[in-house]
Amino acid sequence: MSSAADRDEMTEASDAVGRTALLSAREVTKRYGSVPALAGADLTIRPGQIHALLGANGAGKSTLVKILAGVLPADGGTVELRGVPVRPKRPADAFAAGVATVFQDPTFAPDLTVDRNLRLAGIDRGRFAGWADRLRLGGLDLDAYARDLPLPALRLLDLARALAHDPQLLVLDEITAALPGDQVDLVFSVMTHWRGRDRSVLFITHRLREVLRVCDEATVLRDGRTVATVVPGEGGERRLVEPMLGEVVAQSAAGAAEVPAVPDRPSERPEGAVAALEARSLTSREHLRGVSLRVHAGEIVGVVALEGQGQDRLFDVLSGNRPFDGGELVVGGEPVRPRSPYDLVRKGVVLVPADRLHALLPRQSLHDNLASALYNRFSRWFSLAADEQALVGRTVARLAIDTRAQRQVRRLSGGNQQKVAVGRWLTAGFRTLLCFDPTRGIDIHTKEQLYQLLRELAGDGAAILYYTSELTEVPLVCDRVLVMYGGVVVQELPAAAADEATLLSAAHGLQEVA
Amino acid sequence: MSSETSAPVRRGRAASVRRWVRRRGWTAGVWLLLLALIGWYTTLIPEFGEFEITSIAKNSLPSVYLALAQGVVVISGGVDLGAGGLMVLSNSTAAALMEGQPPEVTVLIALAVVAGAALLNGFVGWVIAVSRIPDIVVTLATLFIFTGVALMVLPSPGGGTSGQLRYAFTGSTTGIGTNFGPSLIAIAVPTLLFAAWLTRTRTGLSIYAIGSDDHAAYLSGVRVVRAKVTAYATGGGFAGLAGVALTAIANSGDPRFDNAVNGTLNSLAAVVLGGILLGGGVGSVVGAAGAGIIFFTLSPILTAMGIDPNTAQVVRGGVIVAVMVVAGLLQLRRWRTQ
Amino acid sequence: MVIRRSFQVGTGAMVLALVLAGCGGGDDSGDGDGAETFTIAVSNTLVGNQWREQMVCAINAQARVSGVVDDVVLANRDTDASGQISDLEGLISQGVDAIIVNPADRTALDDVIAAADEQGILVISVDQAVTAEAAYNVTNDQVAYAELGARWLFEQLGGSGDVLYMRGFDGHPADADRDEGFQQALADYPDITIANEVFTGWDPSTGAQQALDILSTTQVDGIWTSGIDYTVVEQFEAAGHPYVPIVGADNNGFIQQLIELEGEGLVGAIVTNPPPVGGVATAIATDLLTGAAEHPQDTLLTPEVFNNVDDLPALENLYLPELAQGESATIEIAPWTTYTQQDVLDCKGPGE
Repeated sequence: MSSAADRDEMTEASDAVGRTALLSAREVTKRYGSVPALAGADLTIRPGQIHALLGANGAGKSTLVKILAGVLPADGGTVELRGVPVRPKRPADAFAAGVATVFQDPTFAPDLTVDRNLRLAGIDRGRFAGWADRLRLGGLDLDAYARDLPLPALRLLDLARALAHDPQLLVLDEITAALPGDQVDLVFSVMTHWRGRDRSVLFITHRLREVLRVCDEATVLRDGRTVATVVPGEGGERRLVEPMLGEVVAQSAAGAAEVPAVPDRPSERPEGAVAALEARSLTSREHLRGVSLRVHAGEIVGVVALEGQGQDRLFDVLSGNRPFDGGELVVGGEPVRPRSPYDLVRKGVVLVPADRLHALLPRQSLHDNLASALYNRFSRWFSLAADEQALVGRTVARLAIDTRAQRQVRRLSGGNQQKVAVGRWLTAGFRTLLCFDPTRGIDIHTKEQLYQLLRELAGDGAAILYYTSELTEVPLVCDRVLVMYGGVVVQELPAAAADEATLLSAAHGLQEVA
Repeated sequence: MSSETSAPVRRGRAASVRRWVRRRGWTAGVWLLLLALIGWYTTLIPEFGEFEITSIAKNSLPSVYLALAQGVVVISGGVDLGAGGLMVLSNSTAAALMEGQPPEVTVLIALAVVAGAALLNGFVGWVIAVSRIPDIVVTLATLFIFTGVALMVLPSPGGGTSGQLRYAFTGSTTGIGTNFGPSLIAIAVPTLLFAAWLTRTRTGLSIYAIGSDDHAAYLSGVRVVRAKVTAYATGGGFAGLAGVALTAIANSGDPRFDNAVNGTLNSLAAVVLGGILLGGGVGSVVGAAGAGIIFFTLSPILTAMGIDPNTAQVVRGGVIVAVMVVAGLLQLRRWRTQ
Repeated sequence: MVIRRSFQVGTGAMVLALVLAGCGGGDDSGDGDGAETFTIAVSNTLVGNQWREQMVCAINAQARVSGVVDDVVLANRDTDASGQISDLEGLISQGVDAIIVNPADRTALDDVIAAADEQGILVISVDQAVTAEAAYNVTNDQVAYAELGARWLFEQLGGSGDVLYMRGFDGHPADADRDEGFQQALADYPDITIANEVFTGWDPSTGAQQALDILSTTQVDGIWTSGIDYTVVEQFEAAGHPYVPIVGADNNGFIQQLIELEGEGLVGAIVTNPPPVGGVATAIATDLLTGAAEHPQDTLLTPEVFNNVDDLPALENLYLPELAQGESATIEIAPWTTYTQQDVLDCKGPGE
């Protein structure tokens, strides 16, 4: 997708400005119990427009999307679609009214085949097939169970299904977060096509570059209110970020200053130093074909790879979640063959997985979640750590977790959930931290807090292995970076040399194995 | 960034056979196990003929219907502890009303009982869906309520039905004989029709969908409350049919609580052995029906083997545990070798 | 062991059919060794009940000592009439020679019993009569059981008072018969009122709890129990209630209480309801199978009443220290049973 084409379509779309709004939401309010989520949000989308909805975590984006999609009823305010008031009671009503939403999480029932999922939703198969082809899902096996499909395929299936509803307004909530770059391009081409048909797209993303690239207009929410409507491009990312963060911008800038972009620390280690975690030619089926790496105390080692290059399996094996077939896993100089994650947790190797809700006890309280890792410290006589309260309190303070919705962590925002996922290990203590894409779908402010936290942890002597799907994070967080391709580590770079272009070409396997 | 497409694509013949085995293997295995058990049974008794086939077919009817009733509710992500109670209530009501009535009237009563049971349980499903009280709590209550009402309808065992209705389920107006056709039809037709309805219609698929992930289903536009009510209502209809079948087999009704509890527990065992995941969304009612017959068939086999009757219950439990352990190991192996 | 007291028996001598058609002997089951042997099956639908266990043991013991039975097949599970029908069909398929059935329903088994009869299988119903024409019935007279005990109780109360009526298993035919007998007695005592009526399900712990609840809250002058007795007596102390006259069955524990607590004011009577009807049925079955003797279609064992006011020596005579509390002290029933008390306690069938 060339940026020239983007520009052309954008000019086309700007002609549409001035016509009656396709969607107009006024003064929408919603509270969960005593917690206000929306305190008067406005949103106007013109026909033939790609409209971005921006805001920090907890700003109310997801709530507004849910109201438009009929998942939640609004407490107050009005929503009009082409001048007609709509108040969908359930998602089916929203589809009928002409609003189709691709939600943050996949909505294909996992235990049904793709085909049955389509039948379930009453989708016109011909129309779906057209969109599936366009999204390069043409080869997909319709008899596969949804649960067996990789996340990116599920996201695209959701999109194809939403398009098959032939909606006036297509709502895409964080669809690009789980997609590799080429598939993001596919989604963009579909979005611009949709705009060309005088329909509109509401696009929610944390990647401001994407907003700059495809969006005609952006509405920014903060604390449940619409604080700005911006035309992207004029002033770049900065213009988008300022209204999102409001007064916290200053703080965040100060915070960022404390984290040196490229930490200055000795790049050479004394000969024979014992690594906190070492892999020697690890193999696991066709996924890992001899991975060797060393992570030392006090350093953050990045891992970068395209989708499906064995990084998932590597973290599964390193955390003890799956056995490995060959090679050696050495923790603190001692070879181990873990039978379950517990064996490694006891040795201080802990994992923060990609799926936050997977790692947490979603219905338990914040306190219980933070204390959950302490249960390994149950003494034989069943007395729980007496310092539990103190430990948990310290973690909450250190992570600056927003405790408003602390009775069930599933009610916390994504960023706060991620902090909890890291925090529970903080409570219990660890030596080696494995982080798998912890910043996916998290706002920029929380991301910076996480970077800072990881740097501090490394400074205190923790060894950290950090996989990220966002290449730009590498120089911000890591000391050095490993690039994986086809189940092996193909290159190692110091963070200073890890600019996006170098990483990308290495990740595509374009360079000789070092 | 670009990546190779990691989604599974259409496969060759060998792969599709493997897939069939993986998907239908459990259901097929259940029925093969049943055939093996019956084959074994034929070696334990002097003669295996039409009388024995009829006996197994007709006597397992209530277990089969109750397994279907429990199966659809479990697939929807619930559990119906009241199924046995509804069977006993239907059995008692049918036996009390049908006694001495002409054949046409008994058929009408049978239809009314099934419809009534469906409505009643549909209401239970509605209460569960709207109140969000866990299924297990509400249906535990209905187990007691249904059995209590059954005792009001029919205070002690008794009642009766017409020979024609008995013929429809047992192949004989006396409820005993060698004509196995009607009983086999009474097993096969409802089971297969129900399975087809569940897997081929939008309503049926919505029951699977809410059991698989009710939030995802809701977001996909499924009307969750309606699907839940449908699951409980169809389940109730089959529990009612189980009660009518009981009336036809015994020519009497029996309102005792023990029968309700046994019915519920056996139906849960059949659902588990039949391959329906207790969490919901996965499995086939055809497997559950086969497992229902297996549990029924164990009784005469254990008796014929001369196994101490007090051990028989242990054997039943052992069968469940053994099958689940084997299945669990297979699954673990598959996961590890991926 | 010596027979302590022979059981007085009245036989309702109604001989409707002399011999069962085609049932001179089990011609289909001669498995060699010259002597003809038979297989006897038992169908029981209440598991874990001490009376039923003792019934099965009596069948085992009598089968063992008879010398002509080579196997006792048990179809024993908690089920209802339809389950019992399928059990009986399974036994028919096994080709047994005789089936001793404790019926879950008086009429529901008619057709399956007829089918067994067609196969030449002898069916004997114990404890309860069935309406099937082909079946032999060997039963304790349950109507008389209740009536005799109730009359003793009402006399003991001087013809007036509040009685706690503790029944058995709701819906069971024996319970229905006992209710009939109880109501007959009650009709003759207009000043006796029922303080409370409960179903114990013939479960000792259930009965105990019900008695405790009622004794603590309601005025009770006397208690009639359907055989759930010794655990009820134990509740008087818990409820802080003075003893009231009580009627129970010939359970060993209850007899012991009547003897030992007599000095503390416990007044009561036992009514015999011997589980060895199973032994009697077995004896009749072997007679009919071998052709050794003929028997009437219905054999009715009439119960007897013993109380600790006039008959204390009789109770002491009945009491068997080596038996468990819930087991019936009446073990041998002349002239039918030929086993010893030890045979029943061993509970071993032929070949075990």
